[in-house]
Amino acid sequence: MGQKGFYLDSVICTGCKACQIACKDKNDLKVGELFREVFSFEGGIFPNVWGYYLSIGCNHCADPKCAKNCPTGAIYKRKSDGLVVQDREKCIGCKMCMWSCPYGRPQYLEEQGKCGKCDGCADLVDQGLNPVCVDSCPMRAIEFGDLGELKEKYGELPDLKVLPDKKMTNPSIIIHAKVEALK
Amino acid sequence: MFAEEWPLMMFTLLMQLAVGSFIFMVIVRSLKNKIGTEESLKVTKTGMLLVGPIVILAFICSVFHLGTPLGAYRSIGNLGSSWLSREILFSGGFFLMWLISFLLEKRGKWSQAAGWIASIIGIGAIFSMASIYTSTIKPAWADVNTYFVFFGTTIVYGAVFAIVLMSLSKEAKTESTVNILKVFTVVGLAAVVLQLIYLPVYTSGLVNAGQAGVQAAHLLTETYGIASVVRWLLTISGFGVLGYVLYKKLEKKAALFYLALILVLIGEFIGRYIFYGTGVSIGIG
Repeated sequence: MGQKGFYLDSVICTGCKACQIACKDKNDLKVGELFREVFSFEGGIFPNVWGYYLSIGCNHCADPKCAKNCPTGAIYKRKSDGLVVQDREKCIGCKMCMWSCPYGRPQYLEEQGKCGKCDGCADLVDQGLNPVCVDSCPMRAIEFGDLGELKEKYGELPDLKVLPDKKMTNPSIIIHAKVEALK
Repeated sequence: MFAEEWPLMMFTLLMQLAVGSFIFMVIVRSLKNKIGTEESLKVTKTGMLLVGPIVILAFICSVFHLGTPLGAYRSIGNLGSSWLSREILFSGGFFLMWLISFLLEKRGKWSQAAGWIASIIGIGAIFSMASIYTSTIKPAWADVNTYFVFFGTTIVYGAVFAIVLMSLSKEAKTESTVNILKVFTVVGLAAVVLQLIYLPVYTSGLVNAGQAGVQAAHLLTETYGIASVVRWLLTISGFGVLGYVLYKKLEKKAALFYLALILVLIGEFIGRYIFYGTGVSIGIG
């Protein structure tokens, strides 16, 4: 069983949100519903100021609390590539996934009365393509692939000040972060 | 954020009321050596009848929490790892066992064994219910405190509901029955005291649980500070009234029993409101 994951180069990310919009388009999301969200952080005192962005979709955690707590089994981890996907039909909109994800990624889809989440564009991945967020990035700041290979290339996910403790769910993401973002 | 939790507030409170009062009444019926089978059955008759409808009401409330209410049946689809699935299974099981015991009682064959089995399943339901909240990413819920709160309300509601209904039943009550009610009053108060003892541990734990924990602690002690005090005063004074009535032998005064019931019902309701209100999620940032 493999594990696919994301790499994010937060150092070069310009915060343009193309990934967020491409994701919205792909998943036909309504206002306020974001499977992938770009968070911005800034600080420092003039002239030593800093800022950076984090583009976060589902981290396809090794230990996904959302899937564990989902009462219908609608959210599950694919055996083939470790993507945490959802069978929307099964969802009853109880929002348990939203109470479970430390990254706040599952979203309530008001019009459907159900929850939804980033599935790593599993349909595209099955065709050998990239998730839309990856291909839409003008900076090529997001990469998707086998987590083991990504780790060989970029190392482990460092502890960031603004991210929840990674021990909670073991996210399949690696982030190249600015010094100011590190714990 | 808050409006959508009303169905859950009502579901948890009603289930705890049903399970708690059922257990206290099963205990009464188990004490047949002390108060006699006939009396124990008669004084708890109304209460036993009410348990089922309360569970149904709880279920109706819970369905309003769902975005897709018609899919409610699918909620038992992940028993292997989801406490929510287990909660629904146990809650349904509790209702079924209540129905069986109720039908047996109607035929004059009350089964103490069935009563105990229903009680254990009921406890399973409350345990699963609490475990749902402890497995979330909200520091205010992901704490042993949730078990104190949920079992606390189960005991508090159960005791007060059982005491009031038994006291108001038209049957003549012997001295030993009244003594049992006095014990129940003490048990209910003990459940309150246990929670109060743990409260400082809980609050100081929150302060050390990161940003969301600090926010929750602030909500608990500042935003809901007065409400928290009022909440405990109401519940405690409810038991105070019960104690006063029982020890002063004022059993004829129905109004005082209703007063006690209302005080405790509202006290626990405010407590649950605060519980949901302090549910701040940890997240990015």
